[in-house]
Amino acid sequence: MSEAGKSANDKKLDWSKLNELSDQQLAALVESAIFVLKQSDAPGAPSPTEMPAGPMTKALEQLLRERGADTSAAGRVVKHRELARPVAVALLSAIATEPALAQEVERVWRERGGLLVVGTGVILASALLFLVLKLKKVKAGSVVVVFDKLSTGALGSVFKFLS
Amino acid sequence: MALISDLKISALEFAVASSELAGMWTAPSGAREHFRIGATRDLLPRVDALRSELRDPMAISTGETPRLREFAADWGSSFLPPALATDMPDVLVIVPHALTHDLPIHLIRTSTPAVEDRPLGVLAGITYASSRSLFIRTVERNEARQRDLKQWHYGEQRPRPDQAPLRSVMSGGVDVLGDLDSEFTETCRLVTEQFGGERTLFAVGSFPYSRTTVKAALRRKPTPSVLCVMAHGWVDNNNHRMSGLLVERDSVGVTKRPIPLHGGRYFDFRDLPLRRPPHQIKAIKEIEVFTTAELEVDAQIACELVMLLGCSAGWGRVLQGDEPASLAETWLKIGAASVVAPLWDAPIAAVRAWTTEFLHAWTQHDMPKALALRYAMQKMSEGSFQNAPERFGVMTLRGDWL
Repeated sequence: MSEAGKSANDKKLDWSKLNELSDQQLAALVESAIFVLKQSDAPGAPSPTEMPAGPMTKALEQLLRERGADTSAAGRVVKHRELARPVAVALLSAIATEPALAQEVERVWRERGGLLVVGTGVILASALLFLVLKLKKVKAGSVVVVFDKLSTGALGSVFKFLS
Repeated sequence: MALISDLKISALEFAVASSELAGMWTAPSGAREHFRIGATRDLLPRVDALRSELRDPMAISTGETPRLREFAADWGSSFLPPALATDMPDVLVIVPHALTHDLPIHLIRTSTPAVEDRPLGVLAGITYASSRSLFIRTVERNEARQRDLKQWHYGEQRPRPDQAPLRSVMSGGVDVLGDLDSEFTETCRLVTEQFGGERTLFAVGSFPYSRTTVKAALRRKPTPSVLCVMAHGWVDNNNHRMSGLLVERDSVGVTKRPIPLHGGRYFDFRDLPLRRPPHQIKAIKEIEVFTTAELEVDAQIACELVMLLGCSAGWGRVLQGDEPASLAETWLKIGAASVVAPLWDAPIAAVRAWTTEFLHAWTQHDMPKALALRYAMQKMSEGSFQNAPERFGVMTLRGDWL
């Protein structure tokens, strides 16, 4: 196992070594980030983790269009599994630039690490991208993170892989 | 000290029809009372939403379980008979049906004249039985029932050495994913410690934890009275019998076993796994699945108790014929008198705390299993797991309560 993810329960997550996490660990970290971001979503909003590929692609296209970005990226992120890992790492690296948010995601990830569960190892990168693009403000503990600037940065790093 | 023969035993059975859910309460006196729980069309979406929450690892690990709390404090109370509050038994046998299988009835909050607003499982020792016939079979095979119930005292004092049952334990497991390896080893060690090392038949670390070694250990004589299995479970949603435990692949290769045929001849049976490992699992070792189908055809046990300390081992789909398909049920079918297993993906810290308290009450206080479960839940709900029903209520008992 990689050093970065060793003993998920008691070791601090090294945000600069996300690439060293196994697929299972990265998938759990993405789920944790989605869980934290979803707390700031509108009550009753559809969960991006449960969206089928078609509606997810359309929703992402809409969000990308609003930002004047290339909408064809949506389909590639949703359909191409090999992109899930680099996109997830890029998004998480952007989240890591906000200490309060990163701390909250790490806390949730650590708690999840103590669970007797077999994850599928599926990295839900498109669901995370959806929330990163959708949310304007995110509450992390008692701190409110203005998400607009962060998501613009995240978008830039994601497009590095897609262009 | 109290006597087993003085315990008040009762039963609660559920019946689900297309229009409504009903319950039948059998009081300790033997008196029966039918009661209506509610309309099926109203309860079905609620039960479904609760099940979704309990299947969500993020909800469980973070303690964000509003539906579970709502069930426990509010609408779940309709599943309890009105007479329960005034005539709280020591032991309650619950026989669910259809959509009520896997509902955490033990977490429903209730009151008695003596105490207010506690989870049912803290007030009574609870066991679940998926059917009356399975319950009777587990009672008939339970070696604990060979003891003289009129001489069996339980309580805060240790039983006299001549009265304490001599139990042997087989405890082992493996974390093929590697994240919780030390926690698995430590928990297995903790279990064997409770019984004394000299009664340990098969301890973790002695062999690779594979299908072959586990089956070989189960065939040994004397058979263990207690079997503790700590491994990740894998649920195959399309074919339950291909679900199972994730174990190590045998390093020595495929084992051959002779099967006696007619005329004194033997057939060499190659002990291959019944399925390939799921491709989604990225294990740190070579793995195999010890499937429930393999357990059913190639393993027989006579254990007083099986402790399944793995992921959602007590949870499963309900198959045709009202058969709940879970790993815990499989162990009951192949000969266990009782099984304890988590009802959802359990946090390892909660499992270890529960195991310590449960085994302390069962082995040191000589309590029946259902009362040891009540003791463990009491301790956990009053201690550091207070206000966390998804943790203090995760473990359940199935089969015989004694």
